[in-house]
Amino acid sequence: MSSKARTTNMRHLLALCLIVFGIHLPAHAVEKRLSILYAADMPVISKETKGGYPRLATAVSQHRAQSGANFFLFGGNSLGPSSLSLFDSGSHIIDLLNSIEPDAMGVTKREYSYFEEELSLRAYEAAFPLVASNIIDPRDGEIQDGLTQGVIIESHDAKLGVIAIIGPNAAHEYLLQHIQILEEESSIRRTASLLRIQGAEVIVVLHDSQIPSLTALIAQGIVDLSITKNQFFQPASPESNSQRILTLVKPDRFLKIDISWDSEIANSSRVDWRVEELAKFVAEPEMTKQRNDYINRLDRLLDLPVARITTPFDTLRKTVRTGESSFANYIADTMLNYTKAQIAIFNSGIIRGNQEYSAGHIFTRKDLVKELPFRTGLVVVKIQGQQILDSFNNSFSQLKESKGKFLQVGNLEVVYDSSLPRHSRLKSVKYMNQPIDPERVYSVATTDYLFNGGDNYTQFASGTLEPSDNGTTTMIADIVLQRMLKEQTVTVSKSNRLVDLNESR
Amino acid sequence: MNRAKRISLYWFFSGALMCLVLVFVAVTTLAFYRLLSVSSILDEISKQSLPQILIFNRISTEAAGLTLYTEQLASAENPPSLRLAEAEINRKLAEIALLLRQGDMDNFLLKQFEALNAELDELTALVTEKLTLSQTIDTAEQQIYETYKHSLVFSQGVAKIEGSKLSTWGMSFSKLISLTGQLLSETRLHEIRLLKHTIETEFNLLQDQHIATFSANARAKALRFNQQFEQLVLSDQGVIALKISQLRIQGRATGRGNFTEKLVSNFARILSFQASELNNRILQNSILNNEKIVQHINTIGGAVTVALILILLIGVSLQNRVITRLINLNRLVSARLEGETLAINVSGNDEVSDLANTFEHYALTIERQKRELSHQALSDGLTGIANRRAFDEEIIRQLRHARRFQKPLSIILIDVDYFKPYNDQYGHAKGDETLHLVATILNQSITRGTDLMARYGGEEFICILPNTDQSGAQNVANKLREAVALENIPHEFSQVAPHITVSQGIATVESGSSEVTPNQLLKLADIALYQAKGQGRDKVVVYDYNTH
Repeated sequence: MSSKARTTNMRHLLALCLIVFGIHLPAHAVEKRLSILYAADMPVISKETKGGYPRLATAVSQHRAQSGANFFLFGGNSLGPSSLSLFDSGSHIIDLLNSIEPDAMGVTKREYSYFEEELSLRAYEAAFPLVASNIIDPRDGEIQDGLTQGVIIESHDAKLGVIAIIGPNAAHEYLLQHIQILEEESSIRRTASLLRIQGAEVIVVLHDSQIPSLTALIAQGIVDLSITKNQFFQPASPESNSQRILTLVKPDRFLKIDISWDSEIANSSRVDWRVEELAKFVAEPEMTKQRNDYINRLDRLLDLPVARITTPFDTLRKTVRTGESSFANYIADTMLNYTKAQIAIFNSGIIRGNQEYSAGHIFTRKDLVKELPFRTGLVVVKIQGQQILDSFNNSFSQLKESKGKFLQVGNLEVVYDSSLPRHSRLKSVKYMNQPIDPERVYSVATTDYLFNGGDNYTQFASGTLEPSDNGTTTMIADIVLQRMLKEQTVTVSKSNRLVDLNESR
Repeated sequence: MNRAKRISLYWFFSGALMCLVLVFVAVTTLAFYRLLSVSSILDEISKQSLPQILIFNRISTEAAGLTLYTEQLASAENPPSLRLAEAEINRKLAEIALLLRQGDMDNFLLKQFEALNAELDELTALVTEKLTLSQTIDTAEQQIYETYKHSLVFSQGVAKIEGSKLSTWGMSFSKLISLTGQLLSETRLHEIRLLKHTIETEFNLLQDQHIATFSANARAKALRFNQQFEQLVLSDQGVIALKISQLRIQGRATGRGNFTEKLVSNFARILSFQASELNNRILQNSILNNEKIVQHINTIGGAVTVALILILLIGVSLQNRVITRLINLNRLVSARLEGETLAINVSGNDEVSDLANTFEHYALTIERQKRELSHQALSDGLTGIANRRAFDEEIIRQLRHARRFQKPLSIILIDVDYFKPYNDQYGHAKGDETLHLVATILNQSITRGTDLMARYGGEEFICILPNTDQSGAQNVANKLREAVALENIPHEFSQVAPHITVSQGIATVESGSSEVTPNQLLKLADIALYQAKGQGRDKVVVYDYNTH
């Protein structure tokens, strides 16, 4: 039975109850309705599945053309990372969204891809409110400049309150130093209460990570529903799902949510939702042009051949985040060669292409920007062997989740066993065929991200930073680019740097 | 005798000379090429690397400046600041373009620069559009205030007639104008949309409610104001639309500005990266080159040392092989000349040894000839035995020898008896023949190598007997007499025997005796001979010092 049919049946049942039991609603009680179109996670405008803004524009305008209170909520997760965002820190996404005019946009951790100040600037460029309900600027205790703690959007006399919650790991993952992420539940309660006072009739929570207290908050009527888009979350099962904790899983889909309630009865809202495919909508011509302008600009800049690939390889998420990757080896070797450090260690999360390359493929600047979209700097730190060993415990702790914190290495032979418990998977680490000496100090080429404690790595920050040659930070993408330009070919290989005993069994 | 393998001095010196020439040529060539290499290293540094670094650094500096002006351009609030930023950007772009051409940069950088140019052009166009919009909004704002002023005059002028309703309209109109002012000063699109919604609601009230009870004239006027307001503020070309457009372009310009700034800083970063790569490369090269130069110096030094050693070896070899051997040869030749019997022989097998052999050959020839001449001068032509001259030389030598070694010495003076009648009777030819025979008998009769038999003159012979005392001499003399007698040479005209006989006088110098001259000794022997003749010939008489 579809959810819509179920709702209709319930309405009939309610009407029947009213008649049979003679319960009279107040004379001025009205059933109110609103409809929400929810889309999110569209960072790459050149990919229909990850940035189908022209089709979304059509879907939104059709949605708005319908009678009644129709809202468009954008769930964020889009300002970065992407090739273009690398250059404009997400301005083009805001520009495209300005043409569609979401009623509100929820801020997620990815909106911080280019750090706090850039996000504040984007908020000023936006024609819509950017909502972040659990973020404050610790410098003044106020909400971060440009963002909105919560917002009420109103149409046809329906008032929708919007709350957006960022997961607690964002500050670590994105090395955010100028914001403080507040605890989720209390932030939701506080913001919801403010919104209710201001007249919010329905409250939606947009979020980017799982919030355990959501079920209780919904049950208590603090909020009416939550929406997130995350391909890695399991969609709620019908039993536990009160149809109010919604997870959009597939990339090229959006949600249509109908909410109805009785204006005089608290917690009387009813939710009905469905998933729709973007592909079913035609692209809006004006938006297509706007998007193509951006793509062309990027192509003009990035369609430059850099080198020819001689050995096939891939940068699929699973490949680079769960084991030795030949492309990661190439990057590690480039880091070693450039810095002359003894060891290279970097977080696989800097590789983002998620692509397969065949031999003979001409690797372009665009490919490189796709693969290394972050402005990750190269640093050399001197740390003790013990710190190196400790860092691998963290690296191997979430293998199943394919986390970006999985470390790729150069000049090391690391043996682990993925079948063992989380923190005891590391078996051995060898440098130049000798086990790493916990007391000895090694020079390690790594990323500024890890040095700054990203992905919960404290080991690299504890080391001494070697000063760079010219006092400026060298980007890993730059040294890879220069190597490719110089060598004209890209030849990669694996060399038993990361060996999973469980796999070799 | 095994001769050493022949090494000709000609080839030796030719070889040595050739070696010297080769070493000289090699060292000179090496030094020349090494200098060329050093010169090319320095040339590369001064003509290519350093200018390239300078170009990189200048482009980097210009690009850094470009970032600043790009920011100015993106945030330009009025046409003059836009023009200033644009002019500076164009100047810097031209400068960079020139430097890129000079630096012979790779295609990758050139493409980046092209993209940068295009981006800056588009950013300029966008900012220009934004400023044009600002001006349009300013004009519209002026018109709104003009309309507002007229509306005030209208509302005040007719308020008395129409009563409080008009003033309500006036207040509402004022509120709309005030909201519009508020909207125009707003910088956030979202707020503008909210304000727009409020203005629209207020305006609908103004249209629907406030003018319903107006007089026809006042309503017409009020409607005109309403229309003007709608036209200026709410229509598609109204200030709200313009403001929204302006803010969106503003956002786009900011985005594009960011984009361009990143592009510029990327460009600058790639350049400075390449510059630092170049720096490192040059530094590495310089270190390598320095090592090479040191190597060159060492090589040239080594070559010169080898050449010097070679010259020294050649010198020593010249000394050993030629000069020393020539001095040796000279010494041998001089010694030979002084009569020493050393063979003229130098080691080796070359021209010097040839010269030594030649000298030896000549010396041997001369000595042989000298011996032959000497033999001819000291022998008697008739008898073939030593002559008087030989005797004279020999007696001096033997007397000296006898005295030095305290040995006795005897001489025997021998005369053939009655030889004049022999000559007269048998003829001179027979006489000469017989003399020759007697001489041969006498000479053969002395067996010691040190004894000498000489013809003293006519038919007289003399014999020197070194290391022989008086009795020894007598023995020899008797042996001689017997030998002659034994030959039995017929002599019919002899008065002592029918054959040839000899008379002999002996004089002896005993060992340890005082110095005697050859003449004194001869005199003594002659006296003894005279006595032998006196005693009847065919006799041996010894000079007796006691009787005389």
